[in-house]
Amino acid sequence: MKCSARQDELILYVDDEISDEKKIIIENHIQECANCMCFVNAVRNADDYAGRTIKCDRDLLAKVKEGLDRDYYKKKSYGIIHRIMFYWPLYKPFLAVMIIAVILFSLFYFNLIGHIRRTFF
Amino acid sequence: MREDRLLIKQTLNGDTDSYIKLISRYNDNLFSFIYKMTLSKEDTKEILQEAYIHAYKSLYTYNCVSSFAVWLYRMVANEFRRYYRKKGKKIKLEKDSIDLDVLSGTEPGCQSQEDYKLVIKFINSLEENQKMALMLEPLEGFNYKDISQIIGVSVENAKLNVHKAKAVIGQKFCESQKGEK
Repeated sequence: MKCSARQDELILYVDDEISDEKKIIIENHIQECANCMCFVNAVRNADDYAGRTIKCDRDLLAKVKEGLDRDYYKKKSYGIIHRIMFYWPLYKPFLAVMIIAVILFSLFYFNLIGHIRRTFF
Repeated sequence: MREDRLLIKQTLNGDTDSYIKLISRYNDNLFSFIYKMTLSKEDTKEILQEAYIHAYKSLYTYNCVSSFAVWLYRMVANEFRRYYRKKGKKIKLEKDSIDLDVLSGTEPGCQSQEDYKLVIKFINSLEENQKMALMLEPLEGFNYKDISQIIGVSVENAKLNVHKAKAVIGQKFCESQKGEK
């Protein structure tokens, strides 16, 4: 098997996203293949670097606090707008279905289709 | 998550201290993320300051589609792009890497510092979206869906960016090792 064909599997191996069976195969392979071992180490180092935290100086948050408009949320009732906006993506489709249902119900209940037909045709 | 919602509610009632408390929960990770993207402390601070103030003013628009962490990271990622667009230049890295001693934790396990630095150099040569996706993956327990929302691509694309970034780094590193021998 060509080592270059195993790159995706090696990445999944480092991420621990492969089956135990494949994991053993790869573990045995990288013991013998210096190239794949090198690849795995590089990916592990990249993950390690990405996951490391760098402490931020405290003065940043102090500056942010200074820059905030203290009265911004006192001017309008943003709390109410937020409460409506927060679940808006959830009840948007429900609202659309309700509107369509009301229109269809009105059309049939008040015999609006017959009325439109008599008026225009 | 519940604590975030409470702090958002208090902020929207006019309590700025709650907002500072809210962003301080993510501040170190966001600083790490942007600092690794820019390699400049000054630029990072400017970007974060702008993003936090912008996020404060838009806080009432935050909705239940994503977690607050994803929403805030998206704000910061957008500000990062806007910052460099505003300056009218591409990200120009002042140096190859950040100083390793600022990183938290112990030294990388079995690898030498030279190897570690070389990997960082390859990370810094990645395309913007690839580097962003790679840097985001281990932060805040983000999955590919979260990463896709933050950088504004499809879930498939986010996954592809992470895998491609890792493949490029692995390949370049192995080639450099072969070259040394």
